[in-house]
Amino acid sequence: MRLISTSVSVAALTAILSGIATLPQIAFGQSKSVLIYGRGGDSVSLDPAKETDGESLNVCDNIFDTLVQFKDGTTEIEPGLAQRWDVSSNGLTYTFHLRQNVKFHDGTPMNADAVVFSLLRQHDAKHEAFKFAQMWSYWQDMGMDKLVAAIEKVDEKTVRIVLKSPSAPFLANMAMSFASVVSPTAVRKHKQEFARNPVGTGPFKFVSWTKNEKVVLDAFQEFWGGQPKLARVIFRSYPDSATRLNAFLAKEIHMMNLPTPDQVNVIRLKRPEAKIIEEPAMNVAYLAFNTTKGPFANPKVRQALNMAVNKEAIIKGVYAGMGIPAVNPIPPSLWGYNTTISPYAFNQGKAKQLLAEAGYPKGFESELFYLPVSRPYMPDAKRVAEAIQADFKAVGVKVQLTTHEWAVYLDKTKRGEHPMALMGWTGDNGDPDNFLNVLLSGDNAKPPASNIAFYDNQKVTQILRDAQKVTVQNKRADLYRQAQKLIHQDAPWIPIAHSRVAMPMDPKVQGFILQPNGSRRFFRVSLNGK
Amino acid sequence: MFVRHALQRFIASIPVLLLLTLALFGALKLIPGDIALVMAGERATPERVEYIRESLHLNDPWWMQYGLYLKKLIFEADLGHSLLHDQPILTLFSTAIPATIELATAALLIALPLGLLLGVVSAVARRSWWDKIASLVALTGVSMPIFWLALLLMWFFSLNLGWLPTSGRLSDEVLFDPASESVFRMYVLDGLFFGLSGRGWDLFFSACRYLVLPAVALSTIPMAHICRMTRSAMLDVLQQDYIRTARAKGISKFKIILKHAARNAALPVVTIMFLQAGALFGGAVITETMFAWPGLGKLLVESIGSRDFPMVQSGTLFVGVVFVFFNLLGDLVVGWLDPRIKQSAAQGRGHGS
Repeated sequence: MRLISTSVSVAALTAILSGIATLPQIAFGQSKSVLIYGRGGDSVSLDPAKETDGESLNVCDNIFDTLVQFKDGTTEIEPGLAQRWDVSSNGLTYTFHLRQNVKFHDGTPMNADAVVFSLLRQHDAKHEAFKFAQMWSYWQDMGMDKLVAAIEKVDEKTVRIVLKSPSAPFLANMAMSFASVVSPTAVRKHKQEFARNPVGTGPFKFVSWTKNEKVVLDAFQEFWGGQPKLARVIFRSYPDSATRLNAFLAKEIHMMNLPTPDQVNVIRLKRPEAKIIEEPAMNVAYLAFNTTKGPFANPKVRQALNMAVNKEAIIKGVYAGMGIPAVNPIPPSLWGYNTTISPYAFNQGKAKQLLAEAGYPKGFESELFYLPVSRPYMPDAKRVAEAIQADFKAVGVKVQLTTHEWAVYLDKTKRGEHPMALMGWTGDNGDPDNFLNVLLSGDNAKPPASNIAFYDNQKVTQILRDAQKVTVQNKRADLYRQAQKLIHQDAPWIPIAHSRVAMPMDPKVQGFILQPNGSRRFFRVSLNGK
Repeated sequence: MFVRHALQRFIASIPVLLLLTLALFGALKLIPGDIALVMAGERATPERVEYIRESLHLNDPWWMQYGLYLKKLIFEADLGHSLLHDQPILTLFSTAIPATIELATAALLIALPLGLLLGVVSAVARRSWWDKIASLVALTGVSMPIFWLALLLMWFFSLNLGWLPTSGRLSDEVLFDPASESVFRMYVLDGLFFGLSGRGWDLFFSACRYLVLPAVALSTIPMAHICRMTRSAMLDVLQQDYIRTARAKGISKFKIILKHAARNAALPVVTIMFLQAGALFGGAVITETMFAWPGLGKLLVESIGSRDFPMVQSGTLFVGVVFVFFNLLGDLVVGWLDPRIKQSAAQGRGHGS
């Protein structure tokens, strides 16, 4: 009896399966203006002040607005919810004049109270909404908790922020996602759960979120900047990039985030009509010499080793072409990038000669730490390390490769236990200060240091301090160019590469720009029929 | 008699679970470096490291941490709080577990009949072509890596034939918001519910279409195991004297297989079935990741990747509990089917050993 029933059920199952397989695809009319964006992971939460990961902020950036914002495709600042702003002559007081008649998605008005609420909830431990987050991550990461003295409402349409010391990067910080203006009514209503019921003023309003599946946003018709062209954006999660590729090839998604270089080639072959745009990411991968240790205290040695490394080969071999060789510590997409600096050309003969001049005609032995994990700026640190090891060997420097578990690695490099270490940085606010000051100022060279070269040039440190105080951007850019020149001469690093990001898209997708800070904005995007 | 046996088995599984909590707790303590620093990553500020240390009670001695963990777990059914999501772990489980159950059930529905059928056929027709084909299917099923099989299935059924979607749970074109409208958190059931209550069948059909490929991929390994076990158990039984006797009495081959062999061969098969079910319902990490299926396996992988240790701890514990539960269930079913086991349990008590 059992056998019969089993075979019957197998037959039935087969019938059902084939029935399902041959059902026609269900088609709906709405799909024309619905964009499906395929990404590598789900958002953690949708409160822009809580999270630091791209998948959370990419969604938030379409729901919320900031007082000032990054101009499309650049790291320059333009008016956002603030129509204009004044800075006091001592650089301490910023006064923001708010745009009028802006409404949140829940219909409440955006005004000075809302702005003060949004910022103060991250700053003031006594604020009613302060306890709704475990940690206001970016507010602390960007040092706002130490920088800001007061956030005040002047009148209905004016907000004043007072700083404890002049800091020009403050304005760029205010364009970052964490400074988004949230609806106080919604925060009071949902408390912690606001992170899953976000309400902002942006071009898209939140509709629904199914964990690890999708986030759905609909166009907000009353958006102050005009009407979005898309009716709906769906962020779908595909944790495996091969699956994401298949979904793109099967035309289930319009855009595919973070393809590997090999996948980009597959797409060119299998879906030749697809559009693929590429931009350098706002990051840098580098080798830091511990400038307090042994031969590396000598700038000549550091310059020599800069000439010994074939960066082009590393980018071709390890980055599969998805990168550009780095010349300076900041990526070229940042304002203030010094274009006049010519890189140390790959020349192993000259490197040997310089080493001899420095007193190491026979070279020396040392150790190179390499990252145990894959990072956006360095997909495979071990292979980068091996390439550098081979290049150094050619000029007589024998290098032993070492790595540690990630946390241990971070700890040891912060304490300067390395002679040389591979490391990298992804920019936060598009301000050169966020690279140069964090990574190369003498102020950050005491353990646990973020300047793991322990590079301490008083002149550079002073320039970087000055650049924080000047508020005129042209002057700041000049200072950063000077700093880059000095850093180039001292060569505390070998800047290796800035990785590139590619975005394959359905040919119907129009108007999408890759933002330098990694943001994904859908306001100006449209889907045009073939 | 059976109740006593069941009770014994149940009590025996309690120390196993306690040991499991201790092992999990211990394993997390063995992670090199400062856990708080590991969790905070590159941008660790002293404040954040201290916050994590505080919220995980890392400043207390380990036995106090373990005691607190057990106390919350047992007396408050508190699985903890996910640091990554800032949500109770129970809430996160409540959406992931139904997705896993839906997928695992579908996979079992494929693996069970198919595995049994192939196993019986290959035992009865030993050394025939049927046997060889069944062996080949079983061997392939057990040895082919799922991620590879998953990609092959997508390539063939989605990209080449265009019959089925590559991955996910539901088409975006179906007007259904899972976050607010789902009753069961299992879309096939939701679809059935919608269909029967007159709200259209497209949800049901879409959910089924999306379920096919992951279920097939997930079913291969249990199917292969069930098939192999059925085959060897059947072969074993078919060589017994009483089968020869039955055959000598002139009973038809079909009847012998069904009536005399299958029942006796069922015991090891049932055991392996429950073991496989235990593995399936604990979440299928690779299948769920490959097919973007938002189940428990995917939740676990995500929490490991983002170093959400409370989540890793509770998730792994849940997987362990499911496994122990299905083992226990299998034990009980086998005991119920096989009078000998009940007897030995009773004797064990008699000898006082």
